[in-house]
Amino acid sequence: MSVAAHARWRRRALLAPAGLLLAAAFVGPLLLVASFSVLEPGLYGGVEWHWYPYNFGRVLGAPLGDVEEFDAAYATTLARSVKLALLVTLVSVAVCYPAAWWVSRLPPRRRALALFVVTLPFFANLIVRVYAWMLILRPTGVLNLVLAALGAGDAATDLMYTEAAVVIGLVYVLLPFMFLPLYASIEKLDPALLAASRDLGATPAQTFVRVALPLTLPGIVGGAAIVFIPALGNFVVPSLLGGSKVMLAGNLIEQQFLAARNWPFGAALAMLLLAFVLVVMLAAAWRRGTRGAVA
Amino acid sequence: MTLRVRPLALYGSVFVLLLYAPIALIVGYSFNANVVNMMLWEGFTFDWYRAILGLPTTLGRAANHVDTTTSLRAAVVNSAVVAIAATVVSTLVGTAAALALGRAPFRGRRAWQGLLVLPMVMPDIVLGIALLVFFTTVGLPLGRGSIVVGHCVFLSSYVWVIVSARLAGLSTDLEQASADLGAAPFTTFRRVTLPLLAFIISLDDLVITWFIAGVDATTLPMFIYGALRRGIKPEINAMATLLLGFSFVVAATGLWLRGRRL
Amino acid sequence: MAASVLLSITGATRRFRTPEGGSVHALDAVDLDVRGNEFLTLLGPSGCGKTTLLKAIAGFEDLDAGDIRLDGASLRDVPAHRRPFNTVFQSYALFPHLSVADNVGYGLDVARVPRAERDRRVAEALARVGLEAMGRRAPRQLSGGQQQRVALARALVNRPRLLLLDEPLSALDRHLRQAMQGELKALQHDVGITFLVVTHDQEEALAMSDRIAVMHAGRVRQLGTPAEIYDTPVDRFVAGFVGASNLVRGTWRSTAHGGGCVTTPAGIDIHAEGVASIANGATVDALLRPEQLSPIADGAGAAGPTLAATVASTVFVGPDVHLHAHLADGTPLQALLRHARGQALPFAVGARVVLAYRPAAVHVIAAQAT
Repeated sequence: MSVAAHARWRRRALLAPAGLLLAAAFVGPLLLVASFSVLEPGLYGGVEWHWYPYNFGRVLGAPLGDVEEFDAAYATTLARSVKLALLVTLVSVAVCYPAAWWVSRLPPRRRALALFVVTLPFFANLIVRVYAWMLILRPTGVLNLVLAALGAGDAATDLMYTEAAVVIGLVYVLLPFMFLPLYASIEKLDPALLAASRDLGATPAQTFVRVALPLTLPGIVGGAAIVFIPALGNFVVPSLLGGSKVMLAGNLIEQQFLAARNWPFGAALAMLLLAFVLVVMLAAAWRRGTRGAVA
Repeated sequence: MTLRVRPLALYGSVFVLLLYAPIALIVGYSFNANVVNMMLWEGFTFDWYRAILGLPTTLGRAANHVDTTTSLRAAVVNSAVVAIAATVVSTLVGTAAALALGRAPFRGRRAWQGLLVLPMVMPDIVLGIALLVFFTTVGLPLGRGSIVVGHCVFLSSYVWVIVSARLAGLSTDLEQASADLGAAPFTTFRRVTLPLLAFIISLDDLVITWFIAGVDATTLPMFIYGALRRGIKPEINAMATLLLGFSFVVAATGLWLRGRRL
Repeated sequence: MAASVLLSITGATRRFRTPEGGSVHALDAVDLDVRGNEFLTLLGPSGCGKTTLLKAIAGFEDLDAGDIRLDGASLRDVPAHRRPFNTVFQSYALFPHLSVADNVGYGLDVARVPRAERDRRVAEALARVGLEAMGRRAPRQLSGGQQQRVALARALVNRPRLLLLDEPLSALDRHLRQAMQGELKALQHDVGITFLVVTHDQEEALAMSDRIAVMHAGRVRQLGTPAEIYDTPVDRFVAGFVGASNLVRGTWRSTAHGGGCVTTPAGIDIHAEGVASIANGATVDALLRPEQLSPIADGAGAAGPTLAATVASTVFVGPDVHLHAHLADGTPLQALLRHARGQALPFAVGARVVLAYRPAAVHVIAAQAT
């Protein structure tokens, strides 16, 4: 057997397990969900194998001129999900950027330690990290205890089951996803470029806007994409910190599958979610493609 | 210059503090002896740990909270079995894919890479419902087996990414010479570090498992999630602390080995 | 000529903590005046403090003590971006996300210079460094030499009072480096801006500078014109760092009119003239530059004093032949021989050679504790 043929067979053998796994348990199921989204819901759960476009109509009905099944609540929930996911992304960038900058400018030994310390909570169980914020934000929680201890008991607030609580929880849970790409791009930023900018008369603020920000944009875009996507689909954080008051797209989908048992409608909602994700990914990829093209 | 660095260092310290404070709270409260109001510190006790382990406690009422020791044990066993099985399978599948794709470019390589990236960028919930729909339609029973398959889908992608990054730094010569000095660290990495990280990720998963666990195969995160939806109880602090401790030890070992370039 | 003082550095001191917990002086009470419109070079080995001094002037390094004054006004509280100086960085530090023209225009942009004037000055600066056609390129599309010209243009376009150049030629290959030495000198003359260059390359310093400040261990050891530094170094360090040198230690015996003789412990005499204020009997070093020693094969025809030596080796470098020899007591000496085409070298290894010199070409340095 020729060397090239041997390499080809070796490659096929190595790729076969991944190919089988992904075809059977990923691509196939996704196609199934896609087809479910245009099928009729069965009377007692399950699905009738008929063409049925009204699942999307329930969410997007009015704009499509299809008002029969339309309920504005669904569109509102989707819009709220997008809004909160954007907010979570912005807050994450703002919180992580200075911290990533700090770590990247530490001496090498302490930098390795700091990276370790920042990464470790990422491995704490998601549910445990959300639970921690339930302890803090509930009316009898740590936040209000601290406020009372400081003599500011009047300022006690009930953040539990608010959009703010959901945003705080999502930011806390997704922080590492933002931190690592930001760190990677800030670490690559040559300090001589910042010095050069100052040397040419730019204030620290001008230096940040004109040099640091554009050169670390890949990290910001990368971090934003991988924070926005899970923030959009997460249902654990809103269900624990948002309760029934702050329903997000993820909760809606979960309900359709596990409570209402309207799978086709849930599948349609999932397809809409995927559409948003696709837009974000394409935007990030487009940004990467144009990066570095000068003038 | 030194003057400008200081506020940043202060911010960094606050950042790290806020990262750990919520977790530290849970650990602290898990030793709180106050039975009436779990948020107010009354004294030190191991009772909540004794309670979840089914041991006799000094606080008569505490035992009433725990009607679930048996199902907790079952959840731990389910989580462990699933994590071990998923780790073994996905390490093999992901490493094989990385070895195949890490070499010279060939036609279709980018398509394979795209396919392998997708499970990681897909929202968990979409993967969860897709698997639910699939298993139900095909008629496969939901349980430990379906969870293992589900975990393997996204874990294989993680393994592929991490191994590919490692391979990019290793020449194919080194990879082929199994007895070579350079192959030893790579082997350690593959045998120890990678499975540790994969194990933790599997252990952590709630969303995908939530959809495909069925009624009998509750995992530990599902158990805690379910308990939290019913209300906060002091035993949860003890459970969460044990889980935290376990995750941190395993992850710290993995990260430390990776930091040592093993 | 009493040129006006532009920048006055007094008592500049900077200490760094060492990892072992001690502290080292990067700058140790440095006094230095930089004159208007001169080409001044800070020359010294790595770690001598020259780069620290440059950074302190640019505003990137604080002083622990001492002051830097521009036209008499202290710069202590003036941040880097408000100092009317510009720097050409060793790595050039061109902004990779900006075009060449936008790199050059950066200083004008942040100073909010009107668009038309900004464009005119950018074009002018690019033309001055011969890159008028490269404005739209990205920096990484240029060669190393071109990138350096961009860095020069980017600094000069702001018409700084003082241009700081940190090892400006170190990243260039040898041929380009020599060409750029001349260009930098011409450019400085052209634009009439004071250049302050940091370098460890003594040839570069000698070729370009109006004055050189030789630095060592955080101090300025000698400040003078290239000829002064080369001909009359103040100590062994400067003598050894600048140019090739033969240093012979001995005891000073003076005769009349600043003349005298350095006697080595082995009794070899080296005659000198024009030596002032060295006490009789003091320990001194006699400096004989290789080109001041004329090797004569048979010793005949030497007009002045001579040294008898044995040839150790000869090295042919093209225009010259380096002759390595040693005196009777083993002291090594190096002499320079002009290469004459078609003539065989008359000096075999191990042969006797007579080295003739002029007493006026011998520089005597009082030996110091250092």
